[in-house]
Amino acid sequence: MNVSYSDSDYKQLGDEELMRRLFQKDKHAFEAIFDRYGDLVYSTALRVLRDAHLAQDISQEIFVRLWRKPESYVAERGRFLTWLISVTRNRAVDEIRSRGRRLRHETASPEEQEREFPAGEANDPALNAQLAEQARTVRASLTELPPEQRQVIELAYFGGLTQQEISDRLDQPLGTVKTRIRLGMQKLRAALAPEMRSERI
Amino acid sequence: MDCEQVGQLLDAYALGAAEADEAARLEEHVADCVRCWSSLNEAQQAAAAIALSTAFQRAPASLRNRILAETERGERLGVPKLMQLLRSLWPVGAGIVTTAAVASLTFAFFLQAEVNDLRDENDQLEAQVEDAGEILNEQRQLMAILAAPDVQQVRLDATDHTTSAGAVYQWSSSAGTGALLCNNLPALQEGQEYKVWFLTQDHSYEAGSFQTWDGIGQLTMDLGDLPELPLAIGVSIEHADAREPGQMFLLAEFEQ
Ligand SMILES: [Zn+2]
Repeated sequence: MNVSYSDSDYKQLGDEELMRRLFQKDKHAFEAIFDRYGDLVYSTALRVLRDAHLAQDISQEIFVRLWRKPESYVAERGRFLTWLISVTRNRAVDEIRSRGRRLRHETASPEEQEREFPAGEANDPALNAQLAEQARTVRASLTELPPEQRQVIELAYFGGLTQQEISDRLDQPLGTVKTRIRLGMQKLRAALAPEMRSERI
Repeated sequence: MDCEQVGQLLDAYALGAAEADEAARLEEHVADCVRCWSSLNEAQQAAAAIALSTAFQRAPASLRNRILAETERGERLGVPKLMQLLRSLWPVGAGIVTTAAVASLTFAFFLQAEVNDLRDENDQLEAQVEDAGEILNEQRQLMAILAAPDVQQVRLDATDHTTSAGAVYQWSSSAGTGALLCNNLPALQEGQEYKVWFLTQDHSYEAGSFQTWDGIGQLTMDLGDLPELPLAIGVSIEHADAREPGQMFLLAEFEQ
């Protein structure tokens, strides 16, 4: 009868409070977390793995582990969303490495990537309003980076390549790759500083 | 690695692009340096934000269903759920030993399957396997008793006739173990537990204690420790630190 009330109550709760309830095996809290971040986890895994089935498997693994071992998230070490995204990205990259897969977009230029993963849609149906706003900020900042800086950042983050591997792949000196990463990330950090101060990411 | 070198590597590390040996040295430094730790935190937040730049796709509804189904599956290991199952297998009426033997066999196989299933998973589930293993052990003990050629049983009745609680105590002298299965037990208050006692002319020996889930309670016990042949077995509701029994709640006398 009051299911809809409690559902909307859960939607109002912050991540940390939902996690606190998850420790008590509160299934509603788990559903709320999935409904809040399921699309983000899936999309991130898909971007790295480029395979819908694998992305689903990895997403399932991440959420099931969150349910069974919520203590693997330690609140003192940072925000929940940062942790969840990092776990997803790292797990997906592990998967690529263990499969020895070569990703087509490893060598793609930012323009090619833009065609394949169009940045920019303000009204992402899959996002809640707050995340959508953050996504807009991040996309705008990435777009403003010089293409060669954005490229190395995306090769590292989504492609799972180390600096040395990027240097080999792009046939650029290692020092150049390192500089591009540092400069690009510096700008990103500056652009995201207000978001991060509000501790939303 | 010093603070400056860490500063040079932070962003690459946060992006997952540091080489393994560099990453290890950075982690070592950051573990002891609050300043670098906080810069790293910031870099990691920025790196995680990059994921938000990707084109969002709705996760298929089937994924949501699969994940929620997994949480149900994992839950079957919870003790209350197991107790519910035990209750559904609770033997009624005549032929109790045979029925109980079959029931506990089924139960044990079910548990074994769960445990195997879990061990196959790449997830770290030691704690849950341990829980299940403990219960499984109890079930094995129970089976050993029920399968012994000299198994005997006695029914414990409630001393208070307003409750429908009851229990069966089964034991095997050759196996040296006994098992008590209780049903329809009233819920306990905070700090209380059910204690099982062996009573002789002059003494009461505590055989163990248990909690109840949904009216079910179970205890397997080693009979080797008993210094004398008991005249009766009883169950009382006690505070956890009680050393002597109060009023018996369930009681049965042994035929001498
Ligand atoms: Zn330092």
